Amino acid sequence: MDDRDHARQDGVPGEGQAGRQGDGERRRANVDVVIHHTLAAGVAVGFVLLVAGLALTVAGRGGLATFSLKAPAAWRAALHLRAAGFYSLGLLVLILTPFVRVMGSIVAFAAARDWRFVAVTCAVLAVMIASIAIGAA
Amino acid sequence: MTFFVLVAVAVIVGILGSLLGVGGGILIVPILTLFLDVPVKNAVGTSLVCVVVTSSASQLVYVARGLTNSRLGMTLEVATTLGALVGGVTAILVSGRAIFGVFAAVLVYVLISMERKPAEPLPASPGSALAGSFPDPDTGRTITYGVDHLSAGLALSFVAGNVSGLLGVGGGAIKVPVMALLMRVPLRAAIATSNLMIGVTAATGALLFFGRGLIEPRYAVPTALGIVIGAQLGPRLSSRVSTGVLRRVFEVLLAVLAVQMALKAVGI
Repeated sequence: MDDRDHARQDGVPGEGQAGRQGDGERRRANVDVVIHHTLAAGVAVGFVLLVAGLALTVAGRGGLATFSLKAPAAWRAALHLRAAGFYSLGLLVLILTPFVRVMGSIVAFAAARDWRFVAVTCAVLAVMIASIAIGAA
Repeated sequence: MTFFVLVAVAVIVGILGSLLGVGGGILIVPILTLFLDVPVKNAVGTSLVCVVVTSSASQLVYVARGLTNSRLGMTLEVATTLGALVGGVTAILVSGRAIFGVFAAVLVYVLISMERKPAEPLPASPGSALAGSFPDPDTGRTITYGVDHLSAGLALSFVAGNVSGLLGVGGGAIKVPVMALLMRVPLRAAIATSNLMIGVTAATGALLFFGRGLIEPRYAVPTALGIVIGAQLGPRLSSRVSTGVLRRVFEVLLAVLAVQMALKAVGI
């Protein structure tokens, strides 16, 4: 079994094989590990929040709305156990998962001292932030 | 009732998307607008959420298999996110009929590009920052490759991002042919890298739509849940269904939807 097969079996890329890989491969594996964990957490949390919203709807705590709540309002609604808060937070977490993944990639590239790709990934993040600003305007 | 219909449709779209390497947007927008009478801009917003979910769920598999070229993906993503931002702003400003017309044209383009064969992979040159490698699941050998025509790839990635933001699709149907045909990236790596990119691109557009209140939970929640379930089921079904047959079904579906979207564009 080679390194990659081992990684595939674990479901996490590149962990525990650093000693047998070259520098470039090891750095790439580190970036991939960060991306993998971010995605897994984002999809799981978003899914659980949406299912929790459905459970609250079934319990009579509000239905599926025709508009999403912005983050602060969604947070307040969730604290009062209103379904609308969980739906909006769930959707937001799912939408923001790639955003967090990009930030994780910047950290991983920086840890690998790969400054060229730190700059490239920062440029992607800057455009995403511009999107939020335009959306909120 | 609509809730369960949407979940069922999204499960099927999620399965098809994960088996064929395409995002769900190309199917979700026409289905929502043509059969469930959802306004096109709200359908685009819902679809963007689905594309993000499809990408995130599929990347769990692609990254673990070492197929995704993160450096190439992020480099092209600079142009793609800019395109998505411009496309998202345009989508909010232009008429619904214009969106239907462009969507019909893109559906026809996707149909044509599905029939084209990928170019031979480019051997990696020493020191190339964008070169990648992955273990070929068929042969067990590690395939190393380089990247050709980066400037043209960046320009076309901007177009792909623009289409994504405007129409609520991932743009993978443009990115995969650009990488596989023009940049000579092996098809498996092109699909996985495109999949990484469509999530980032769609999230950029989705943030814009979320801020503008164009993502409605009553449509987005059931479709997102269905897509997550479908994207998990797809890989498990892959050994039981013929990809060739699925591909033909998908092509027929695209052709029917293209005609219907074109008719909507001209007001019929």
